[in-house]
Amino acid sequence: MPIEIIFKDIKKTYGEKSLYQNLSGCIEAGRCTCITGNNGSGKSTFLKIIAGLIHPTSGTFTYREAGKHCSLEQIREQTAFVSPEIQLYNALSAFENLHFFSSMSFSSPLKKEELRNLLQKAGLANEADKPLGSFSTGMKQRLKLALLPASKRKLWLLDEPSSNLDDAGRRIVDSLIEQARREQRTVLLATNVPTEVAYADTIFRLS
Amino acid sequence: MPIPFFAFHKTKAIFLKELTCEFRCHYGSGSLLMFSLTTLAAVSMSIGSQSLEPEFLSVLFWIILFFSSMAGLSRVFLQENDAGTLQTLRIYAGSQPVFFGKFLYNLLLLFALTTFLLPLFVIFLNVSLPHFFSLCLILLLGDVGLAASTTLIASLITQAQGQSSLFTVLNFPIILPLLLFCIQLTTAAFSPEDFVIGSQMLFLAVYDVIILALASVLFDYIWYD
Repeated sequence: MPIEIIFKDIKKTYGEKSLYQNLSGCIEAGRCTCITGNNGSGKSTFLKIIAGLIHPTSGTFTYREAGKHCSLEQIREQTAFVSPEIQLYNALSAFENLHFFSSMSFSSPLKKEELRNLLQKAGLANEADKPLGSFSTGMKQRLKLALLPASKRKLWLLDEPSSNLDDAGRRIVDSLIEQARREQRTVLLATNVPTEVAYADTIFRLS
Repeated sequence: MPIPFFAFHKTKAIFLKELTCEFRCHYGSGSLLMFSLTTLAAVSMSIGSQSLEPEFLSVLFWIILFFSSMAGLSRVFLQENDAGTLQTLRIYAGSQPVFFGKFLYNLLLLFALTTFLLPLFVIFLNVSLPHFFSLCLILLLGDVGLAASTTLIASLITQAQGQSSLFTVLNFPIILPLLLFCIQLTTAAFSPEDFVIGSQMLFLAVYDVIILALASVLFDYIWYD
């Protein structure tokens, strides 16, 4: 069942700088919600708060799955995150990275053929066994996107998912968001790119 | 939080990932082995052909082991922080598999270091080993305590400045009781008199269990907060 997130009176301050004051709303279950706003408005910070990587200064988050309350620990196990700050292991190959992170999500990792198939969809089939250190930024971004279906998590947090991607790469983002809609995953998208904003069912604008 | 059964494969995945990265980059093992080798060579050359008492030998052995581990074992988290992969690990991996995977990896590094150091120590400093198997047990228990403490403190200092000095300073009070007992027991193991496995050995084992359990519980807070 998809995950719903209700946030109330969220406030986040860094020293004297205040990012939000009393931010409230709902990220609907199984829908795509988009957060837009100027640089420095706190889009990425909001995604990190949702992922449990940082804490809000004040305010409450309520997580629900099929109407039942979930703890933050349960949500962490269901969260996949793509962001420019997320890095993968340069010493490992694309396949090894995917295998490692998918094994963090399941009692047994995905089969090799399934992982190879995901790499093929990401356009990395020929580079699957090369070390990530030799990859371009765009290729690394494609691998981060391949992690989303590999982890099979219910909540996808996407921070500028098309950054550093070419046209073919952007089509991968399109198909992933379509896949998330079909599979009823909850997607939270932080972006200012109009084509990505167009995916959203709900839009929050941070000022 | 107790480690659930299904998390063992995740612990294994973290451990194997550490091993693979180490095998390809030699971040931790190189510094550990080089530090211990240079320290042992310096000690050996300054002592010359003198024969040392078991008390001095055991102190020297554990000092080399302690400072060598301080030189290399913090890398288990610092390397993740420098490469920017720590955040990815926090998102995709749970706290307990990360702690136990990295603890096992640090333990393996310490075993390798001990196995490397002991024969060289015996040869360079002309040490006799009348109680070899007891010594192995002492080293095993000492390594477990050292690995648990260094893994926890390494995770604690990832965001701090002056990480390497802080790592040694924070580890020292936690490891001191363990170190003192290990030195006492190693002295007895180096001595030709009969060696009795007594309450001190039991203390070492209990200390290891306590430090491992505390580190496991505390790691949840460090990892997520």
